[in-house]
Order: sequence, then C-alpha cells, then structure tokens
Amino acid sequence: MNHKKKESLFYEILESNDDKIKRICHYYYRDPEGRKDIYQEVMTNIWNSLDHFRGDAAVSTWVYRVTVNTALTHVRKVSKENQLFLRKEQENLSELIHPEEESWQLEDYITQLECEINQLSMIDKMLITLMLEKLSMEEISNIVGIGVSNVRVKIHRIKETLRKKMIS
Amino acid sequence: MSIFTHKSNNLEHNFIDKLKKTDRKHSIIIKIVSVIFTLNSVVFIQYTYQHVSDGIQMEDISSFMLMIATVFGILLIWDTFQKFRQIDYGQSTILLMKACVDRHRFASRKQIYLLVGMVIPLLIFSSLIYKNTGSSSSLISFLTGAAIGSMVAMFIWNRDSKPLREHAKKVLNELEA
Repeated sequence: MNHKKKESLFYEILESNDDKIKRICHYYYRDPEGRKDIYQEVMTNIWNSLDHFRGDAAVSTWVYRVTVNTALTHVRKVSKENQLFLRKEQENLSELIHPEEESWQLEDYITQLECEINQLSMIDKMLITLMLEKLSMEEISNIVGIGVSNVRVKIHRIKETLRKKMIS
Repeated sequence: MSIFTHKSNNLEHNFIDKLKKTDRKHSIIIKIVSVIFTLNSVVFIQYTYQHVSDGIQMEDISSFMLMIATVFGILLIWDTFQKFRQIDYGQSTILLMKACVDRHRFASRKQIYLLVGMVIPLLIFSSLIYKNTGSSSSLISFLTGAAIGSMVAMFIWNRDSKPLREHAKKVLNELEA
C-alpha cells in the first residue's frame, strides 16, 4: 500500500470511527491526559497495523480490535492501576445495574460496581467494555477471537458474579 | 473463574507494563546487534576474498568458516528481528496473545537450526587455529564465550520474557476456557 493511499484510508477510518475509539479510551482513563495518551497510542497502532488490514473483518470491528488490544498492552504512565471507569449517563449501563435502584442511590451503586468490576481479570473487563458498547455477541467474538457461545457464557458468568457481589 | 484475583492485580499490572517495554527493548537490542553483524560480515568477506586470491590455504578454510558463521548469524538476527519488528494490533486478542507466547519463547526450532549453523563453523574455525598454531587459547575462549553467552541469554530470557510468556499463556487459557 503506497503512502498516499494509506493516508487517505487512515483518515477515512478515523472519521467514521473516532467516537468509538474515544468511548473505549474513556473506559480506561478518567483524566483527559491519560485518555489523550492512550488515544495517541491507538492512532499509532492503527497506522502501523494498516498494512496488515486485509478487509476480512468490518472496519469498525478491526478498529475495536486495535483499540482494545492497545488498551490491554498500554504502558500506564498516568494511572498505576489497570482500572475501568463507568459513567452514570452510559446508555447500556442497565445491563449491569439492578432495575430497582433509585436514582439518588445510583451514583453510589455505580461506584461500588466500578470497584467490583476492577477486581475482575483484564479479559473480563475487556468483555464488559465491549458489551457496554452495545456490540453483538458475533462482533465481540470477532474482536476477541473466541466462539460466540464462549462469549455468551463468559458474559453471563461476569454478570452473575457482579450481581452476586452487588447483592451481598 | 477469573485468573487474576484481587491479590494478583499488581501482577496483572506488571504484565501489561512489561509486555510492551520488553518488546521495544528487544527490538532495539536486535537492531544494534544486526548492524554490528552486518559490518563484521563485510570485513570477513573481504578477508576471505584476499586469502582465496592468493591460493587456497588452511587460513582460507578458517576464514570461509567464519564467513558461514556470520551468514548464519545474520539469518538468526533477521529472524528474531522480524518477530519484534511490528506487532499487528488489528488481529484478534487471542491471536495477539498467541503471537506474544511465540515471540517470547527461548528459541524456536528454526532459530535452533540457525544457531547450530553458526556454532559448528565457529567450532571448526577455532579447531583449525588450534591445529595450525598448537595453541588452544582460541578454542577455549570460544567455548567459554559460548557458555557465558548462553548463560547470559538464559538469564535475560528468564528475567524478561519468561514471566510475560507465562502471563500471556494464562490469558490464553482464560480465553479458551
């Protein structure tokens, strides 16, 4: 792939997937500096991995792969912990939240949930971020590289574990 | 069951931190060694050419052996360099982890063949010098160098790559479970 073609493809990918990358970065860093840091690393990895992109998967799936893989191996400069951060206004958070939670308790509940999520393994955390991104099981399976049924079982187990912990 | 419990969160963090740092470090080391080797090979080729043009002698065979060892050395370094050159983040996480396990193994089968291809000519070279001069110093220094080299390589691998490989294996096991 020549440089010009690569550059135009890079900007095309960036234009249509920028919000997705930013959302994933948001899970891993609360502070803007850290988010900027990981975002730049994702950009570098997208540029470097573009030569290997054959179009087997959808572009958005490929971008998710690069982003979550970068997040997995990102050299932490700001945060000392491999943590995941949730936002109250997240649309898909209902998947993890007990339905009868009152709105005034919601903030405490999310803080507690965040705490429990951060006790999980990095693969489990990664699956949660993809689930909160409203990706289908097939898409998650494509990104992680395991079977759809395996993804389904894992996500079910994570939800069960979190539910039990939150109840207790 | 999750592989990283609360107690091992620090271990998990170390893995994430070390993986990329080690890959970068290895890549830089290999680049430096490859430059040294390439420069050496030019010198050896010139040296062999000079001797052969004077008529075949014992020295020509030993310098030829040195050249073969250098060629195998370059191939070995190139093979290792290719592994660390560019990591494709666009592959699935499971493949990324498999590549990490492969990248951080002590030596692949191909690398062992190349290493043997490098060591045997060097051994012949040292033996020829011993036969020519009657001095065993070059043979002893080669064997000592080889022993120290393998011990250092084993130490570095044990310190840097082995823990990463073990963790990548655990992640793989978790993914495949």
